[in-house]
Amino acid sequence: MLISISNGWKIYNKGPQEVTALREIDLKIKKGEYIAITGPSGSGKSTLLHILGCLDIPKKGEYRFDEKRVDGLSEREIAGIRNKRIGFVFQFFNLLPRINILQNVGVPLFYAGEKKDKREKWAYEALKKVDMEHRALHSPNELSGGEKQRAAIARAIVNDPDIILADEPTGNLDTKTGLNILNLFGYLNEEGRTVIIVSHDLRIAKRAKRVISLQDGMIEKQ
Amino acid sequence: MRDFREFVTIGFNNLRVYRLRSTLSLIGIIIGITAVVTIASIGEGSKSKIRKELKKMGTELISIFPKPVYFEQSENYSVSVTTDQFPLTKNDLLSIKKNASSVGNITEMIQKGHELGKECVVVWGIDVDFQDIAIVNVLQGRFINRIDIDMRRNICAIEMNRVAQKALKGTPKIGDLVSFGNRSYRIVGLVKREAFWIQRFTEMMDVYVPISVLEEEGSENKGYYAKAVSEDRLSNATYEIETILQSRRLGKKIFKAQSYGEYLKMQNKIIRVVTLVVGGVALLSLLVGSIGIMNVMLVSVGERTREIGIRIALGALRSDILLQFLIEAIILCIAGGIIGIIVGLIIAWIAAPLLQVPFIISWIVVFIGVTFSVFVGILSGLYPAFKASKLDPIEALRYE
Repeated sequence: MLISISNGWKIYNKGPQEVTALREIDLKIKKGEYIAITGPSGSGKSTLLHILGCLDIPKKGEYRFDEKRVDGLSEREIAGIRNKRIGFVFQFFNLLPRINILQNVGVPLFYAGEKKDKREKWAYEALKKVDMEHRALHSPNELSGGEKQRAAIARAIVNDPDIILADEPTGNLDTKTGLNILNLFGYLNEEGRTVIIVSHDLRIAKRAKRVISLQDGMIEKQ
Repeated sequence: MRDFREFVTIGFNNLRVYRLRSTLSLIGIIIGITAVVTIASIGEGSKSKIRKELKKMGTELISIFPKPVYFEQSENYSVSVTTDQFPLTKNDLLSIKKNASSVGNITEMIQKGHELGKECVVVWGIDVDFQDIAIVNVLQGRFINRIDIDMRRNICAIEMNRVAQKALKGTPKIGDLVSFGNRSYRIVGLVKREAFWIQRFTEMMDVYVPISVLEEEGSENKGYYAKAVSEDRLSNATYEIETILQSRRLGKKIFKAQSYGEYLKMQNKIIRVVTLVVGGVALLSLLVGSIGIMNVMLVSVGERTREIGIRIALGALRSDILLQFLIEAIILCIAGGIIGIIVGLIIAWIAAPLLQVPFIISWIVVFIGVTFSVFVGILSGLYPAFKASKLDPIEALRYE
């Protein structure tokens, strides 16, 4: 099992109030799955994604990544998982504004400790995969929304991760461009990668092989 | 292993984007480093000047004079009047020569003040060893010798300086006669003394005559000039002379032995104190500059919260984030440091001739400048960098 959460809870302390973002989450994900996580806003989708992406840990219950309890790992090991095993794709692309696309795609390689020539070579290959090599030396603000998201996907796959985690990847794109991006995710899944997408987008739910819908922090159906 | 150069590249990138802000924040550091470098450079110049002077004057020299009883003030100069209760005698000299093992050479001399026209003249009655101790170079003619002293010849050698030229209305000729008081002397040589630079309030003319000639007129203001066997035995020699003279005068300390090396050491000390005080002010401005940099770095951390979140999501360690901001602050300060070093050296180059010290580019000065700027960079970057590394990545990613 690649990912398993058993009886996962997430509770935030916001001032005097306690907000329960997730409760009684039981979730198992196998390698190669294509999953859509849906639900209204405030249902805990993003929190679940953060836990899956090792940016957060559940307050109660346990999260195992590749059979290892994440809360027992060191900072270095967790950073290693985020760096090499998981590729993040965000709603607002989150490209770094002051460096060009090639350098942006190379950032995960930098944190993996690769030298500059390898970073450039592999980043360029990743850009080729998403048909963006012609934009390699452009700055992010010279790109359209769709192009930015493709560059972000190139960055997500540059370290050849097992899992792609996407948070509303089509939320800021027009219908046609969004479709393009979705096709790209389908292609990545066909390559054998586990794709997990958080979205309201019904088209995503249709394409995904498995849909998990959240309501008030609980899994309604899966 | 991280590719360390990348941190530097990222740092430069960020600083370039916020060019104006970076430059403004640099001003404090530039001023501080400029001040430090200027002071260090001028300080080095002064020290080297003093070192040279020390060498020239002979650091192993000692003068022994009766302690002044009172000062007589004249229109142009003041004369120290001493007691002649226990004058220095030939026997004192012999005793020192025999018993003071740290004293290499010693000579007695008499000084008398005169006026020639409007100029003050010091007539030195000297013995033969004076030439060796005071390092007298003959420019023209000859210096006073044994025979002149034994025969009590009315001859003189003139120390060539501006005042002598003025008092004698031009360069004197060998063989001419000059009069001081009611005695005339024939000029036998023009000379230049290297040692015994004496601080005087007005410039004076120095004339050397046989000591025997002045002895005829009484022995007022008789003193000794001595030379230690080596520079490091200077204080021994001074002590020995004082002890011998004191023991020969029923324990009364009437004579003061003073070494020129010590006098110059004192001057060195004064320079050091001034350097420290001004250096302190420079450090203060560096501190203010450092606070400025810290402020800019804090703003930068705030602005780049989202970037920090992204980097952590992509696999950055907290130490990576810390290092990145720290390196940025250090780059900023080194840039300020380099500008400061250049400006500081330019100021020192302009100021050195005005302060009559040589201009020296010493590696110590550059080293001090760079070290200080790196230090300030770390000092001002550490807290913002630490703050950046402690950000919660989820909050940071949500940050707009």
